[in-house]
Amino acid sequence: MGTRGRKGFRPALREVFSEAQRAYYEDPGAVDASGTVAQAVAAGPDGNRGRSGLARLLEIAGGQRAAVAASCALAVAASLVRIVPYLATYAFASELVACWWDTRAMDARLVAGCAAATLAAAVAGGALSYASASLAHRAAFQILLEVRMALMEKLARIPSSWFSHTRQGELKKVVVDDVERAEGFIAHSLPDAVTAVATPLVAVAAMLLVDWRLALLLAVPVVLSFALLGAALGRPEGTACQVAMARSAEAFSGTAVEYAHGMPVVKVFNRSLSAFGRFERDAREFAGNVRWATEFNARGMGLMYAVIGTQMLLIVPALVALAAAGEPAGSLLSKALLFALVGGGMKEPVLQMVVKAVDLNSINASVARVDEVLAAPEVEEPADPRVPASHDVRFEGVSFSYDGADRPAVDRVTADFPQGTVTGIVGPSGGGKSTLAELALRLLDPQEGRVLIGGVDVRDIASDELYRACSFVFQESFILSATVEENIRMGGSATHDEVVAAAKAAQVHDVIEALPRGYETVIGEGGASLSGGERQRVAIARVMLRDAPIVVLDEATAYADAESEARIQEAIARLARGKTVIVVAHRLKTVRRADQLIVMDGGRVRGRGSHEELMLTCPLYREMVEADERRGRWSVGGRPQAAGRGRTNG
Amino acid sequence: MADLRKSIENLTFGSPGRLKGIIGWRVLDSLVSNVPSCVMVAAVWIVMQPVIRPGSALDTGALWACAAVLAAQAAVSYLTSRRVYVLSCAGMADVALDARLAAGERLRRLPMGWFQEHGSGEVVSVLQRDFESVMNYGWDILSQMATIAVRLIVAAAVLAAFDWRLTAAMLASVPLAVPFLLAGMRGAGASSARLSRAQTESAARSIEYAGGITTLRAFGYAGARFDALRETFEELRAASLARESSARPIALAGRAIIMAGAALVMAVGGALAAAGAVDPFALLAFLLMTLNVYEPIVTLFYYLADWSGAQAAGGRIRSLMEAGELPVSAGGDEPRGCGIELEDVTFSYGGGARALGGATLPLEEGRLTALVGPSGSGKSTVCRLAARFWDPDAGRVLLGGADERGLDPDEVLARMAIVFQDVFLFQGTVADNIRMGRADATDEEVREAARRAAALDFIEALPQGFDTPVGEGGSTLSGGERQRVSIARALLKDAPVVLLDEATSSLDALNEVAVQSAITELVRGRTVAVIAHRLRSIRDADRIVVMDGGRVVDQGTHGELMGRCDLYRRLWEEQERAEGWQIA
Repeated sequence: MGTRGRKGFRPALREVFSEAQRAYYEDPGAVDASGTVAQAVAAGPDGNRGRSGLARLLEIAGGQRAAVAASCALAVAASLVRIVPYLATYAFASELVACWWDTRAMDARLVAGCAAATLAAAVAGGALSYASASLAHRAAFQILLEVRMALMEKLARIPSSWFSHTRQGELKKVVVDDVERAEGFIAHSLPDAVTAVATPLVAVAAMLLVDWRLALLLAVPVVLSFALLGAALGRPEGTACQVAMARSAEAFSGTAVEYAHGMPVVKVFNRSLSAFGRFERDAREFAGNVRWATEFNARGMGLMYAVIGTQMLLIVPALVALAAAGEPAGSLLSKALLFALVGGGMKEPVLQMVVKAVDLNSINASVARVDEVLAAPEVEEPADPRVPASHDVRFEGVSFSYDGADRPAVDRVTADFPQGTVTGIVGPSGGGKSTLAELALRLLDPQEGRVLIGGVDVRDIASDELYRACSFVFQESFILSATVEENIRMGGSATHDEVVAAAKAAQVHDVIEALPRGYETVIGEGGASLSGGERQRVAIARVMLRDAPIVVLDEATAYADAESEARIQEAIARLARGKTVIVVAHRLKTVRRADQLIVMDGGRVRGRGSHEELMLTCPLYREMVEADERRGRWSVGGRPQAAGRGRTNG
Repeated sequence: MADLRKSIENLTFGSPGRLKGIIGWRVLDSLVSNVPSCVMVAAVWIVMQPVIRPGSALDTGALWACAAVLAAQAAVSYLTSRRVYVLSCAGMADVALDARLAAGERLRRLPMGWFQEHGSGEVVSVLQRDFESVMNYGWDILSQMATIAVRLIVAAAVLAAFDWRLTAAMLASVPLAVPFLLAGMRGAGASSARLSRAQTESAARSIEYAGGITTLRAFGYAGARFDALRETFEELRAASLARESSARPIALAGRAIIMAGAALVMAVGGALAAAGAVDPFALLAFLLMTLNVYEPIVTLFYYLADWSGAQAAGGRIRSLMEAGELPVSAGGDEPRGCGIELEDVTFSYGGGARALGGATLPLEEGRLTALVGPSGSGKSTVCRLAARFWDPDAGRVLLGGADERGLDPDEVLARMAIVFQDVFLFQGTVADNIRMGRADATDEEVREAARRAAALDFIEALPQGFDTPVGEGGSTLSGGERQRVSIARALLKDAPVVLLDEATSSLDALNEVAVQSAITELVRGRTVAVIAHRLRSIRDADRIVVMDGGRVVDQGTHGELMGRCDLYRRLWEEQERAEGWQIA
């Protein structure tokens, strides 16, 4: 086996199962395989995280140390009990040998005692394991509860700018998948792992009292098999294939998500299988990496399994040696019996130990990702918070760039939004309109310049105070999975009648009444589904009810249908009285009569003033108004004479 | 027995045959790993001789022979366990791969309606989690079972030759433990339903909280929602504990019973020995072997919870694979042309409220039909039934005069291009996403489709043009741009029927004009159904169908409807008012 010249020694000739493997063989240096698998797989670049895996989880959860320690102690006790049947068997067998030629001479009490001890050990072992497992489960699920709570509490303190689009996806993975993975480990594997480690230790320790030489021999296969396995797994290729396996598993899961979400498109357009092609490719790559890792580990695992079962192989020659050294026959027989029994009983727990060790490795990456979220920067509350005297909003030389963008989304913008006025922000998409709105709400912090409310920098206003002052409707409305009423009330103290009045003003009352349980109907994921327009109107009702002095509406009527748009707009107009209103609008007509219009393009203010002023001074605005006119005339039936008819209408 | 077969199929992705080889090796490996305990009996026998026959010398030659056998065993064990390892990991990965591909293929054939009912979250969970669970445990469990069976049979056969009474004593505890095994499984299964609900709930609530945190904070509602979240997590904790305590004690009791079997062997052996009625060597052999025989059974109890989890996961995979396709009735007509007609169609979603109640309307070939009406009036349902996402509860949907029930749903979809309200772009380049419309399209054709969809300018302005990555992680396109890519896709498909959800209202004027011209290109000369949001844009449609509450209220041209349909006139006037409306 494994002789020189076999393909194992010449990577170039080896079978290649996956792309990652091919890449590694072509240039092992190009694949990052430094450090542990967990470090390589975990996303965070920051290396000195201190504790990892289980230790870190215990650190996060704090109070569960005692329970975990008690559980471990009980597991050790269970391991002690576990060797009792072997000792009883030994005692029984010794007595049998002593009375070999006349078994009737056997000591009946001893025999009964052996049987009773074995029975008692079976029962006690079960009870101890149960107690240990119960404690471990209690602790484990408490730890996970606390980790989940810590994550969620943390989310409330992270600045909104942290939650970019890609982050949202990663976050879902952390709060659901990673926590669940850690759960599987601590809940199921921890007590078993302790038993698995304790049993061979206890066995060897007990045997040391009988004969230290043979006891050390018993330990040899355990130590040796772990050393062999560790050496094999620790080689760069071993790390590389583990990393490749973990990464391809993640890639496949991403593809599976996309495949499931995009299925309508796949079915309508992709009869030719290209999306399925990627699904297949990623599934194959994962299977290929499993094969790579398997082939790579095969020798190490084979050796480990073989070596772990070699207690007898070591003990038999040792018996010969002991006999040669003059060990009396009786004592030799006792030792043979005892060590053979105990040695045979050690194999299974050690195998369990290997399995758990591999599990432990796999949760490190998950815990590291949980940690990364917990370490995210938090919103800085002002040390000396100030309360704004008015609700005028002012931008002073404000610039903001998104991470990795090559130009600022908002570039040195200075603008005033006086209380009691409506300001419309218009401009082509990507011009920075929505970013401006988010800066006004302090959902983003500018890198340069200041945003002031009533003359106070928003960074000096306590966040609760700021949230009280502002409300908003975005294009994508967030709907809780809760009743409609709860969704409108959002925890406030409004009465049912007030909720209904807000819903009526937002033109969503009729829709709600038509739901199976009216205002008590649960909407959101898993509940009754609302259209985009209906969701938006629920969000508008929220704002109506809230009646905050600063209102930001970002494309707030984007989804409204013919029937309700006019009425929503009227309601918004009523809402706007006496407030600072910022409207991001795509339909120019909507904001034509606003107190001021700000035209944004490329992150900069290209013009400001009333509609009439801008028609004269701002070519971009004029162009947009003309496009708006053209849009109004367009008809999907689009035959030439029809277009003509449209023109006369317009 | 049928249950057992089903259970084995669940644990092997439905192809138990492919695990035969693996299990064969595993059994062989198990027998090989049993050799040392047999040698142990021999070695004890050898070492015992000088004790029971005073004066005789220790037969060191025999001991060396034992050592030689053990050395050979270690070598063979290396080979068998290596083989088992490779077969179990790589072999199982291969079986899982084929099953995954089959599931992916299967998903493509399921009716669209199935996806609307099951939700992509569920599908993803099956494709990922359930496959992983079966992959990780299915094989372990089955091979462990096989090992147990073989060990028990071999041990029973060999040891019965020594002494049948001791054999009976040794095996007595095994059937006693089986009820515990089954009860443990059942307990774990029952409580895992609660657990799985709690898991789904806490995942959904976590995602919701993370996704809506900005709004929640802004409305000062984060704290209250957090309490609700805490309750969800508490329930998850309770459900997790419940599951553990349902299976654990039973499993541990089963394990204790098995181990108590050793006590029984001692008691029976002791009694027989006291009566002088047993061969001492046979008794010794039983003492030494009993614990060894029990070992794999005890291990099995470790896996009880995983087993029932893997079993359930396998069941979900199976039900995905067995989910019903829409039946294709035999002897259906061949469609002639591509006009679509709904004849007195009634339909409700999954037993819910009626979405369509006796709707009759034509989507005439080569003409443009606009569907208008308040939200929930059934416009989208008409389009979905036209594309055979579902079959109507009553009435018929005809494509080219043929009942769609007699047509393969894929056949129906082949004739359609659908522009969805939510544009979905796949990870890949812009060109890949357009080419989905027709895989064999040349670069030139892709480009031409983009040009006609008014998308060429912005695509060429992208950093890598048509090769710019889009989709998750690379989504750099605005709403209007995404929409034009999806229209280019539809143009490339060049299907005779176009179903269009005209959701251009969220676009700015410049973008919208571009999308409008793209739509004009798309609908030219085809059978088109448009779900209209802006009445102005469909006033020139060949036919406008006014819907309300799942019924067709009226149909005709814009002029006709303005003259006689109150609902249409009202909708039109409202919208005109909105168009002219100004804030402040």
